This record gives sequence, C-alpha cells and structure tokens, in this order.
Amino acid sequence: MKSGRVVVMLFLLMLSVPQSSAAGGDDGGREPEAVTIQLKWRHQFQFAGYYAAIAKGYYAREGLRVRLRPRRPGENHIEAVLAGKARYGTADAGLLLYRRRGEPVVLLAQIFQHSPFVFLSRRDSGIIGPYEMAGKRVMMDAAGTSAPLAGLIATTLGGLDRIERLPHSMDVGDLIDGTVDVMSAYVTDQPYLLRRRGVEINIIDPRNYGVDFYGDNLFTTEEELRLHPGRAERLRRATIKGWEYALAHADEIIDLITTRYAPRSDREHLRFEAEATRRMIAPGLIPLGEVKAERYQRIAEIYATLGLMDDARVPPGFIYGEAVREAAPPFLTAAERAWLRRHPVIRVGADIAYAPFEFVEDGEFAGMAMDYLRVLGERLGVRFETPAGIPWNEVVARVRERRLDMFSCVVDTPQRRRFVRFTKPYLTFPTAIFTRDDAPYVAAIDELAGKRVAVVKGYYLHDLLQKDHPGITMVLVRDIEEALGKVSRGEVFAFLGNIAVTGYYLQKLGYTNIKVAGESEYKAALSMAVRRDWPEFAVILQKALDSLSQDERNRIYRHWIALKFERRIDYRGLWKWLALFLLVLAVVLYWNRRLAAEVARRRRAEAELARLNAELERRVAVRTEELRASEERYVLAQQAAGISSWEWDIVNDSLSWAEEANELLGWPEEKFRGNAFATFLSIVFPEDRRKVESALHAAVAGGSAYDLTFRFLRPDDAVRWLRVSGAVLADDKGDPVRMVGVAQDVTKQRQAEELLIQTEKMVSVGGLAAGMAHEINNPLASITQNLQVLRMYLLEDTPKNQKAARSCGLSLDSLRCFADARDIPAILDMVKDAAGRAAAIVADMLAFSRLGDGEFVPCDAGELLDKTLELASKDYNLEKHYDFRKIGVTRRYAEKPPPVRCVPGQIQQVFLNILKNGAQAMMGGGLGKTPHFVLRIYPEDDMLVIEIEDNGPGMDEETRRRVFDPFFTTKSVGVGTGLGLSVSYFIITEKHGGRLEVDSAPGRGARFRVFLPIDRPQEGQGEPA
Amino acid sequence: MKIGTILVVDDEEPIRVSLRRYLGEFGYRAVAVADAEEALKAAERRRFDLGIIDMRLPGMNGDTLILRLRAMDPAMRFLIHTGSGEYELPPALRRIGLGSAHVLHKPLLDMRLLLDAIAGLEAMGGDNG
Repeated sequence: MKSGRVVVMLFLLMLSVPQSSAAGGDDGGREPEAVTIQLKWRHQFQFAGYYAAIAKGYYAREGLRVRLRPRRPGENHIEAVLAGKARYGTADAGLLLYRRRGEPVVLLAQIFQHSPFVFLSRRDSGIIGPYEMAGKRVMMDAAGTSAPLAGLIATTLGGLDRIERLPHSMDVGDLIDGTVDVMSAYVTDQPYLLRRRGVEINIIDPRNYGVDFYGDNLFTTEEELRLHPGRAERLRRATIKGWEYALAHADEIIDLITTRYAPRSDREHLRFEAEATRRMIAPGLIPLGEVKAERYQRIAEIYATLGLMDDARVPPGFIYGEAVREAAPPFLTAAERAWLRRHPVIRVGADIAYAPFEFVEDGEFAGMAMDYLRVLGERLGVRFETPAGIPWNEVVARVRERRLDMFSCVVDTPQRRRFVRFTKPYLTFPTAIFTRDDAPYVAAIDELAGKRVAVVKGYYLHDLLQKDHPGITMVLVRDIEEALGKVSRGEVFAFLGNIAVTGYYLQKLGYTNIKVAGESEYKAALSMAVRRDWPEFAVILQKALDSLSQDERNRIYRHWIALKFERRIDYRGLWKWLALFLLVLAVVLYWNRRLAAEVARRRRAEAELARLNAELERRVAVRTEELRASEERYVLAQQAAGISSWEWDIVNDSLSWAEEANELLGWPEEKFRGNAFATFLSIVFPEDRRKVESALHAAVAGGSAYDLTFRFLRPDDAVRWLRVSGAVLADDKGDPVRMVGVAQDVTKQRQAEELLIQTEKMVSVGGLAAGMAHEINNPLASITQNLQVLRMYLLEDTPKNQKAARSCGLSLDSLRCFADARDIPAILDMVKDAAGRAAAIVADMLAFSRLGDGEFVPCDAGELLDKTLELASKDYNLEKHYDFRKIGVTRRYAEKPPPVRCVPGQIQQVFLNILKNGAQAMMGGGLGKTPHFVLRIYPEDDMLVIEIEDNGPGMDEETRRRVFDPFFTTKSVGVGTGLGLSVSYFIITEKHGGRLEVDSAPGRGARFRVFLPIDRPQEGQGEPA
Repeated sequence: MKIGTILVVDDEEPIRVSLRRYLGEFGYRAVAVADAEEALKAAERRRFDLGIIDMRLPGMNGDTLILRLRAMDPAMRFLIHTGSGEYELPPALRRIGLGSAHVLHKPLLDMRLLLDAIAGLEAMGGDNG
C-alpha cells in the first residue's frame, strides 16, 4: 500500500507543472492587481516612464494592471491619493509639507532629480536673475506649490514681499504683452511655447543660486504599504524600468502619447519636453529613483525659511527605503543590521534553466527561488542582484572565486561545503527516474546498473551517483533540455532529475514519450548558500528564511506548483478509451483501497481498545458486586467518566439503568421489565440489529466481553449512536445470570468521522476532475460539434444543401419529409442531450477545483435565498423534471437576521442545488401533494440557520446518509449529475466553516439546514457611536 | 475588418473537420491542420485572417504557435479552442491582446458561440483586444 501511494504521488507531481512556459511570468495564472496612479498634470512627456511601463508590460510582469489618472481641473493630486481615488501618485517636493502636517504619505522613488520650476522674463526686460526681480510684477502660484521659486526669492531677496506677486493665468501671452514682468514656468514646457512665438527669453533657474529642489516623485500612503506589502516595491521597480526605457526610446513614447494618451499634442513640443525631462532626471549621473535624505534636509530648511514648516526636519518615515530598513528586521541584532548596511547589494548566482525554481525568461530571472529572494530582500532591505546569462558551471566557479556572494537554490553537498555555508533547506522535492514510455518500471536506482543514464553536469546528483552507484554509466549533459532530448531519442536509457523541475520542462518542451519510471532515494533539498567568508550573512539569511510565515511560503509555492491533473493521452482508437477507463478505475480503486485500509487500521485500533476496555469492564463488573456497598462512590465515578451504567438481569430478562441514561435513551425503563432482550433489539436501528443480536448471544453463550457501537432509535425517531460495553457475570455453577456494563452516546464522534470521510471524497473528486476534464472534453467536442454539422447538413435550408440535394436528384423538402418520417431530428436531440449531460458532469466536477476563488463579504442570507429562488423559477427548460412555477413557497424569515460572511456566488450555488434537489423530489414523488417549500431563516448560537424544507417523498436513512456523496443519486438516469449536493456540502463545511445537515424520513419530506457563521464586526464593538 | 480565411489547428481530426465544415457553411474559407508545424507551413504559403487554435498540440504547443504566427503576420487574429477546464491565458498572449472573450471551451454545445466570437473580432477592428 505504501509504495502504491508513493507512485501515485509521483504521478501527481509530474503532472503538476504550470500549463505553459509563459506561465512562468510573475503574473502567471493570477489575475493582475489593479492599481491607479494619480498624475500631477494632464498627459504629457512628464509621465513618459509610466506609459512605457504599461506599454512594455513591466507592470504586467509584476502582476499589476496600472491605470493612470490625469489630474482634473480644480483637484489637488496629493489630496486625491489621500482620499483613496488612487493608491499611488506623482508629486514634487511639496509632498514633504503634507508629511510634516501628519498626512501618511511615503515617497517611493525620486524620478526627477531636479525641479523644472524656473522664472521666465523677456530677453529685452533686462531681468536676468532674482536680484533684478525686486519690486517687479511676478506671476506665480502660492509658495507651497512653487517652493523652489519662493525659496529662491526668499534666499536672494530676503522675503517674498520684495516682489509683487500676481496669481498665475497660465497664459504666456501675459509675459509677451508685458502684463507681467516675470512668470513662473516649467523649463520643460513654456520656453518652447515662447520660442515658437518668436519671443526671446531669459531663464532664471533656482539651481544656479543653490536652490536645488527635487522634481517629480512617485509616492504612496502608509496604508498601501501596510495592506499590500511588496506591491509598492513591485510598482516602483516596474516604474523605474519604464523610465529607463522611455528615456532611451523617447520617439517611441512620443508616438505612444500622440496615439493613445493625448492625440492632439504637438510632436515638436513633446520632443522639446523629452529633452528637457532628460536633463531633469539626469540619468547616468544618478541612478533612476534614487533619493538622498540630505537633499530633502536642505529642502526642509528652505521650507522652514519660507515659514511653510515649523521646523527644518524631514519627518521620519517619509522616505520609503528608510522606513523599510528601519522597521523591517526586528529579528536581527544591531551588528547584523550594521553588516547589512555595509552590504546593500548581494550578488546572487542562479541557474538559468532550473524552472520552476529559477530560470531566465525575457532576459530576467524568475521562479520560486527568485520569489523567495524578493521577499527576503524586502525584509532585509538589501538588493539581490542576479546576473543572467551565465552557464551553471561558470556560476559555480564565480561563487568559488567570490565574484558572486551566494547561491539562491542549491543542494547541500560536501564538495560545495568547502566554499559556501548552507542555510537549512527551504524547498524539498523528490528525484525521479525518467525514461521513455516503452521502458519497464524501475523499482530502484540499482536496476539502472550498466545502463546509460543522463545527469546534468555539476548538479548534486553528479557527485552522489558516482559515489553511491558506480555501476551506472553516467552521460553528462549540459542541462535538462539536453537530457530529455537524449531520453526521447533513446540515446540514454534514463534521466535522473528533480521531479518538479523535470516535470516543468517535459510540459514546456512538449515531450509525450517520457514518463516517470520510478522513484529514487534522493531528495533534492534546496538551500541557499553563502560564501564561506561571510558567516554573518549566512546567519542573517537563515533568520530571514525562518521569519517567513507559512502563508508566505504557500503563496510562493502555489504560484509555481499548482496541483493539477494533466495528462496527455492520444486517443485515436478504442483501446485508448479503455486506458482512460482504467485510469479512472485505478483512481477509484485506489481511493477505495485507501479508505478500506484506513477503516482496517481504525478497526485494529478499536479492537485493541475494546480488548483493554473489556478487561477494564470485566474488572469493573467484578468490582461492582463488591462496590454495591458504596453506591455513592460508584455514582460519582460514573458521572466523572460521562458514561451511564446498565444492568441486564438475564434470568428475568429485565433491563435497568442508572438515572443518567434516561436522557440518553429517552425510553421509559418500565418498557424493559421482562422481555428486555427483544424489546431492546426493537429499538436498535434495523440495519444494526443483526450485529447487536449476535454480539449479545456470543457474550452470553461464551461468557465473553461485549463491546459494540451501533445506532438506536429514540422515541422521537432520532437516530443516535451508542457505544455499549459490558461483561457477563456467572453464578457458582458457571451459568450466566447477569450482564453489567456502561453505555455512552458517541453520536458526535461518529458525525465527525463521517465528515472526515466526506471531505476526503471531495478532495479526490476535485483532483480527478481537472485531469479528466480535458480527456473527456475532447471526445465530447468531437461528438457534439459534428452532431451540429450533421444537423445542419441534413435538416437546414442552405444553398450548399440545396446544391448537393439537386445533384442527387432530391429536393430539400422530400429530404426533410424523410427525416421527419424516420424521427431523425428527435434522435439527434437525444444524442445532443446525452452529450450535454456529460459536459455538465465535467463542469460540475471542475467546480470543486475552482472553489478556491471568491471574496468573502457580509451578506443577507434571506436576500440571497430569494434571489436564488427567482433564478430557479426561470429555469424551467428542464420541464420534464421539474417546474418551479408550480411550487408553492412559504417564507418564515426572522426579523432582521444577522449578516453572514460568505462568498455570495457559492452560497447561491448551494441554495440552488438544494432547491433543485427538492423540486425534483417533489415532482417525482407522486404523493398527490401540492409541491411546497417552507423556507426559514433564524439565528442559533453563533450560526445563522437557513432551512429549506420540502414536502416530497423524503428519504430513507441509507439515502440520507449518502446524499452528500459524490455521484450518489437516486434520480433516474440523466436527471442529476450526483454532484450538486456534494459540491454544496464542500462549500458550506470546507469553504465557509459552517454545517450542512439534512433530516428526513420516508413520507415526511426533507429538511436541509445550512448553518453559516454569523458575521460579527471585529472592531468598534462597545465604542460609542 | 472582415474575416475571410481561417486556419484551424487541432490534433483531433473529428474536431478540426467539424470546425472546417461548420465554418464553411457560413462562407468562411477554412483550412484545417493537425499540428503547429503544418500550421506554420500553411501560413507561409498564404495569409489567414484568423487562427482557431487548440492549446495542447503534439510538439510545439498552441501558445507558442500563436506567438509565432503573430510574428509572421501581425494582422492575424486568434481564437483559442481548448478542452482544458482550467485553461488560463498566459501573460504572453494577454500582452498581444487576447482576452477571455477569445477563449472557447470544448465541447461547443452551441457552435453559434464560435460565429459570435468571430463577429466580435470583426467588430473590434485591427487588434484582438
């Protein structure tokens, strides 16, 4: 059994690779997150980097879908972000003032290293610097929004009152016609407009007077950093790449602006702006995005001079990188933090072709290991640099020579320990033997002796195989792709490789003739490894790895390794159908055997328990006689154990029990005075009677102990599980006279076990579904699609049909007459219905594997139920089976029921399944009753109960118990898929932490009860409104 | 932009024949081939307005095929016809404008969906998106 399980697991893993090579992108398989960036002006080259990052897919690659929001007239762009209209924004150094005021803005990246604010004067005015501006009419904004200019005036002339300030008209005409002497402007913009109009100007640039402000930045809020850790970093990274691209390809971005963003722009103007922008950003001199705290310090001082800030300090937390570095690693010592500050960049050696752990895509590294590095980098505040394009051998050499500082993902081997220090493994995968389809099963690596086996040169297996299995002829290859090629072509017998990595490449390269032939004893336990002379960093890295939560690890894992059944079966031919059937059968058998084994194991455990119990009870029984004297103590002992005692007087056939059992049994004790044996059997659940009877007989006849769990019926017809054990007491002659023992209500335990089994069944169906879907959908497509062609060719009045009919000497009318006479349309319909049903089953099964999605929100259950009912009443296409319009409904909803937390779509699915089930039962019941639903909603403890009761024929106990089993259906063939209620069960119990119960008896209808946890607000309780 | 010529790629013969015949009845000129290699050869000989591509093909898969065909003819549009219940568009295809409206799931119980999708592409003009 055990090895069988391992083989199945290998099978699963092999199939569990992302669907295509492209899924290796960061957003593979996930919906991108939508974020909005607030621009500080309308669309122009000032935002070129953002356009480029969108157009070149840099955001998409980081899993982001970015929308740009241009500034609207009369709106403040920073306030817009604070108000939540956008998560990110662009601003200038004035952002500092907001932070000083206590607004939670955080600067992410400094894009413009200099402010484009300048003063302009007409060349003929003679105003060439700030000193000539004294007493002049100057058109400019408030000091807060044009701080570098106000700062220039304050530092050169001593105060803003030295000039005559006028509000800004945004019209260069005012300068031309002399309405003002000087105007504030963007050096990237207005000079162009003036020159185009032939006006010669002087530019007064604050930088020339030591007032060097920062220009445009990218910022966000503390809330965003808190709610979406890591997203800011991704956005920042993509934005900077966008800017790098935009500056190198200005013409391309200008095209983009004129076609997509601002169609009426003047290209010449944009080109001027692009050139000026480049000077503001100063790429090449300063790394894009870099921000220096000292310069903001200087800016803060100018603000203080202008009276815009009360003191000249940069508030803590204003600059993103600092905030991260300060707050991030509390698990590090001061010395370790200092070490990190001295080593802000760590050079990483990674394998370009070790997907899904690490590999190069579009010239950049991606994969699980890279995701780990990214999280670690954010946590430690260091940058991991992973140069691409180096073959693995060379990577190893460089780490050895300390030209690289660490490996991101390697197996710990003694050889490597000579030059690196390993962390504990953070990813572990088995190594499997891959062969061609036609090779036999390989039970162990030993069987490969004498055979040619491909191993990637430099991988850990290379060392290990040489040592452990010298009999194998190793064929060293460059990489996995080469190895698989050799296996496929038969040049080597097998390839030994990590199951996840190899599975990935099998899928990517599309090999169909390679299989997992067996398992090996090797496990690839992947660690990070740091150069030997950096023991501090090895410790830091281990601490950082340890600090990752299970959730963070799972997220990375799931991103790359989705548990999917995927299999390529080529099915031209009947025997391949057979193969599918066998596969299904094998999986079903496997699960049955697993369950059987589990049951057997529990039985053994129970038998052992029973033996011990019997022994105990025998002693109790013997002692009972002695203890009669101390009755009081006895009762106390029983109460403490939570069990009730009973006694059967065999001679008089009379049963009695301790008082505590009254409630449990529900029957009056008198009923069992005389003829107790038969009476007792009559209250035992019918299916269990035989086993109770034979066990009691055996106990009495053989004097053996008795221990049995069975169901019995209370007077109110409720079914309870009872565990009863006892021992027979004999008289002097050895004849049995009495049986004494204890009884316990184990209904709850049994229900828990049922739940467990149910869940296991669900999971198996979910796994099966994804794998089978493709294999069934293809033949279904062949059937249904050709059927539609057939119907069209045969029954429709098309020119081609007319032509073909004519050439055969037929008319379409006579053809149709023939088709109708032979009932052909109906036959085609039957085939179509059957195929449609098969498709519905596949779709229902897939519903299991898709249940992962959906957002939990507080809902009004009554509203959902009503909506579902309305939905159902429109669904009378299947009128053969039921028609909601003929069903009466009574609602008994509690007044204002509390909201529940749920995924509305999923809960509606549950309601719909229950309603459909009830409708079908009532329609088919034929009891002469008018079909009627009673819907109730009421709170019970911390749950809200949604009750759906029908007046159909009800179900027997066996059906009731199995009603949530996958594929269990009592409906006639073709009515239901047998999955609706099991999906519902799964949704309620697994996804929503609720319960789904049904009670029913033949002739009494069925009552389904959905229990959903009531949504209680977490915060704000007990606070005054 | 009007769609006239269609390249159908599916390794399962009954499926590709059904598509070719169905489309043929509505005036489209459809060519059906069994794998990516044949598809590329066919696309070298003549141009197609639209490709209807199965994702799992022997050898080169459908994703890669679409990207290759697109590189040969940037005007060519695509619909994906897949039997995998969990198919999700890879980013590389999203980047060239494919969206969920361009993914058709097997079996097509009503093939008019296919005509609708083609009409949708015709209405969109130049690009898949």
